Amino acid sequence: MQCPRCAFENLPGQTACFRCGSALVAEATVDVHPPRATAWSKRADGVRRRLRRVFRIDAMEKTPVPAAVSWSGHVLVYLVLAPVPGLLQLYQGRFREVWFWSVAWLFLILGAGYLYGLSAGLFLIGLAAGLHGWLVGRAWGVIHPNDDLSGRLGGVVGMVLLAAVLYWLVGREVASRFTGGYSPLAVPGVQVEAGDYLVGRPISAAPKDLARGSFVVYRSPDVDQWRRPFRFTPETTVGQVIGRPGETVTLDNGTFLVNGRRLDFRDYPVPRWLWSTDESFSVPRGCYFISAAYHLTLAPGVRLMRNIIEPRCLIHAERIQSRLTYRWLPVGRRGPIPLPADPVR
Amino acid sequence: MGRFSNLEFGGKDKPGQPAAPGEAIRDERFFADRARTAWLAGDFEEALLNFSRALEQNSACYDGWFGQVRMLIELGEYREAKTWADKALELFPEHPELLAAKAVACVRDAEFKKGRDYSDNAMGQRGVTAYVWLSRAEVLLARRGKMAETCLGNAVAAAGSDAPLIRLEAGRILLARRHYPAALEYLQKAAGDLPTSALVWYELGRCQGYLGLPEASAVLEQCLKLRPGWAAAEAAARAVKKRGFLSKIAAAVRWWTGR
Repeated sequence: MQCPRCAFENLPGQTACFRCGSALVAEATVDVHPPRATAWSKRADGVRRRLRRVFRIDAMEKTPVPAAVSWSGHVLVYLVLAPVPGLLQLYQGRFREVWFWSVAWLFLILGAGYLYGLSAGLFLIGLAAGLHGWLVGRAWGVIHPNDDLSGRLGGVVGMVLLAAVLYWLVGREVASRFTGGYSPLAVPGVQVEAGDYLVGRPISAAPKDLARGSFVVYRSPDVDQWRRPFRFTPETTVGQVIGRPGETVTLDNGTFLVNGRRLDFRDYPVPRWLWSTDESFSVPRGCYFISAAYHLTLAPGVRLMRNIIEPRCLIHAERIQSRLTYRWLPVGRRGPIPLPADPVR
Repeated sequence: MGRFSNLEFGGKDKPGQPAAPGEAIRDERFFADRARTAWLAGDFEEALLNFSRALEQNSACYDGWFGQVRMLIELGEYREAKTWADKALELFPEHPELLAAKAVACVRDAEFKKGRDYSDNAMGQRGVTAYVWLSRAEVLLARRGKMAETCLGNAVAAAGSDAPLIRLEAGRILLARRHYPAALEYLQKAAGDLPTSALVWYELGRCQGYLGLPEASAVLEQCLKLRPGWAAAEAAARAVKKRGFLSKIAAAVRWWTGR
């Protein structure tokens, strides 16, 4: 019988080729039609394949990775470079592996910064923290491709928690450099609406020369402290400067008069709780007359007493924490807040 | 295997039919050639059928066995391809190309370590062919190895007169692994050598489409001229025509990054 592979003429009755070892089978016994996959088994195989890829079952290492990253002589560098993802890989000469994820992290951080204050911004920060933890964990050797699933999972969770702590600390540090608050007033003249979030830099000393119309954030008057209904009621209030030290502020038919000059109600609106008042106030030295919204409900025909208005509107300069100069939210109207025209000066 | 797996429906030519006067003799070579033509047209089912017919003529025809395994891989039936490669290996023990084909089936079935082992075995045999190099390149690409391009170069060098086919295969492997610019280079050369193959134009059109090249549409039209009504090519042509803004940006990124 002739071998189909090497054409060697074998003795009759042999089952394998004497020269090359190929099987010698009679043609009639060979089934030449291959098995075929059914549609459902193809789909099931596809799912199985995907799962194998996701969980890296039977996976080869993508690149030759050392069993453990050597920290000796690199401890300081590894710690210094860790805050920026990708830098460690750059130092290790393996940036090509993670360049895409480093760029993705950068975009996430930029996006989170732009949307800071919104849920979407928080979500992006979370993603960035997770990615950061994963990248640094890989560079540190905490997350290793050769580890089993539980090892990798433990490494990822540990590094993500570490990154979350880092982001919380950095976020707190950045936030401490800014002061902000939701505006309770709608001031159409400067495109500020009630509910807009305004931000500014904190003031270290008591301000001496705040311009009229400025938005400020100040510690709420003591008279309100004991009335606060909830623990988490903000201790600060956002208001607009109406009267400066030494000036006289008068409430007249829903508008402000300063030293006898009427202020435009679009630039200096009177909050609803002061509408029923026609009182006049002299602003003492070291104080400002600040207009802010309070939820004071009065019975019809009842007028506000001076002793209710004064502690809430005549604010000592030491209580003022910041001048708010920038409208942060909503994103669509983000921009600096202009100062309204001052008819008194 | 099912009871009706050997039944053929719709086939015009039966293996047992005698050839008309003046026609080529319908031996295993005849059917193997037809299988190759069907493969170049991207009709893998037809190619598989013709390889089976070639084996019905001569069950010792190596091309038939090897072709069947490859077509099963092309059809995405990797488990069956592995089974069939094992059967072929009983007839042709330690044949490097069959080992290499099994390595490809394993790698595409996400059994990477097995695939690497089979590829190592194939490379260790005598008579390493172009296909073995191609298989090696695919295994290396699966683990993002840097030597894959060298293996593809070796495959083309070892191919001899089959270099256009090997270039086509190299392009397809690179395309599947998202190495678009490198794949484009191989596929453009293959298209110059095999202008009548619908498969070449299809893969070239897809590659150009991924890279956002404007000629992709014309290339896919050429493919549809060669094989009218090919659903996959029609879908690719539609996708190229409907490309939106984000797809264009993604194509530009692929072009610049090479991935």
